Amino acid sequence: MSQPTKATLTSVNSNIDTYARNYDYYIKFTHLPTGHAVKFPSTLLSFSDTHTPEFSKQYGNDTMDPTIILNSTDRKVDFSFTVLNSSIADARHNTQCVNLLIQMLYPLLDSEGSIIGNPYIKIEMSSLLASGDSTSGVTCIIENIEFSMNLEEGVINGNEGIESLNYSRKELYPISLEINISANSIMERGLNDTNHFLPTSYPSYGGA
Amino acid sequence: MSDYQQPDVASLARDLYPPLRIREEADPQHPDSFDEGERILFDKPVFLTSYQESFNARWQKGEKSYGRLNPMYYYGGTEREASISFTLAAGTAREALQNLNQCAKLAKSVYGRYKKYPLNLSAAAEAADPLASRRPDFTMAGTRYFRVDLGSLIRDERAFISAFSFNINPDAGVHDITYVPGGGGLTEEQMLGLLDEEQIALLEERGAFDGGQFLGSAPPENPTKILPRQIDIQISIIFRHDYPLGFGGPRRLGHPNKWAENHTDPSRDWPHGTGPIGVEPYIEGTPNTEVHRNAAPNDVAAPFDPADIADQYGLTLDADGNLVSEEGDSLSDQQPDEDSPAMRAQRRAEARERARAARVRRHAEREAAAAGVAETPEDPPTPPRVPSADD
Repeated sequence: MSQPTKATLTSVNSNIDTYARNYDYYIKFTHLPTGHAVKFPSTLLSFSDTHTPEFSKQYGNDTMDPTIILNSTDRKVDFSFTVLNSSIADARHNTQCVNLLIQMLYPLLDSEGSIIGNPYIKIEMSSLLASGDSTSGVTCIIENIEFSMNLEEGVINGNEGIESLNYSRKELYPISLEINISANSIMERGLNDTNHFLPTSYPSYGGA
Repeated sequence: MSDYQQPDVASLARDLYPPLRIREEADPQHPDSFDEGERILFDKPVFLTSYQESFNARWQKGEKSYGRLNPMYYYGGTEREASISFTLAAGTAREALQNLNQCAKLAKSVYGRYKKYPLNLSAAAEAADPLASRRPDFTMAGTRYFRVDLGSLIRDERAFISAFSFNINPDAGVHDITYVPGGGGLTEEQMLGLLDEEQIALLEERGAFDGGQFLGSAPPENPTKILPRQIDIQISIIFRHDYPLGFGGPRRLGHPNKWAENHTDPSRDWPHGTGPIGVEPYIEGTPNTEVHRNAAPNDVAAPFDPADIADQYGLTLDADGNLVSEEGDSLSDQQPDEDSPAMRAQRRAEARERARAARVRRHAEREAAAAGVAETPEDPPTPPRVPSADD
């Protein structure tokens, strides 16, 4: 019985690899419908995590202030990071990593081409994105991935493209590539905690 | 006038920078409405100043019930767009004019295509307005489809050009071709290449050409063109891929975790090229599995893997390898090899639903136990749903 192919790629850069490995400074994305995963050294440029409660108000006679009713709370995470290429070999491999990250925005299809698995993505980022009841990240929907080449920092050129795929055979890789991600977390109820609706440690940023 | 480029610029572009090729092609829905003679073709090495691509997943937010942690999110698809900025430099006036011509081509790309529409006027209408039939009428024949190629970044993808703008950089200067006192200006050949027939006739009449140099004074009807040395162009592209995107799908029967496009001979990465290195196994082409949507299910057997399903949905396997829920119900009591992919998908959905129901029941029981209730209530409150991978 054949096992499904699951890819796990890790972006590389000879200058920062050791540091990232030693401290486990990685951002890891896992595409839940397929299990494919990709890790990037967390050269973070920005990170914001916004928890937005949604209230409704009820007014009564003879009361000045409304009654506030909390309906739900959303969590939105925006962050950006850099992928650095120090050689053409790094650049090609890292492009494959970025390709997989981009592909994660696409769903799992059945044999008829219909969607059977929505592109839910688990993001793990050390203490910044950790699940309440485990350290295995936060399940999110990514609404947007922006990919910008920092051309002023230089490019790495190559001429070894495959002609039938790239008629000019020219390759162009940035030395520095910025990736911006906007995601909404899908909070999971703590399944192992029978006393609390939300895990007591949620949200967790690595503190006590 | 063929494109000429100053040798240093040309060799830099040729050796290092990929050409940007934007080639108009027929609308696949209405191929007859495309006129080859009017095809827009831009094919020129460009000096990129910025390249940005965005991938937007369309998630629609559903209702949020009271106390629910998250709204329901409904996935609708993923869009790909790119914004490209580049510079066209001109070392000579002729190059500058060529660059402006290229701008004209690109500007046309954001307009629709129009088709002459025959006016079938009645005799009465013709009599009322004899000139009416001579006035052509036009109808929009649709938007323009393009194939865009830019090295390893965009590889012959079908796209629409959704925006075009250009700026000249006045600080870089302009080429002035009107008059050079004492010679040393443009050659006659260069000058002739820059002007239209009417302007050339006007200059000849005034004796402007002498010994191959443009020495004449500028005529009152100034033939000067503004020929910028540097033009910065911004274009935006909306991609419309003509192959399946996602994982699995009709071209990957039996390989549900592989990239749906299944490009074979050679396999290719997506969306960006990675030169000569081999692709990852999950994206590798699988020959002989590209089947049509209506192909018989037995053309390619899609192996059903209960272990994978059990792992994914927290179920267990009995001694015979059947999926079993916590209550002991067998969830895979049919022989998978005899089933169609659609039946298997349906069975998986049912298994998921049963597994979810079992989880909900377990929750309710645990909560009831924690609250000191001896028996499970008949209709326990449904806790918010835990999102699953296949929602």
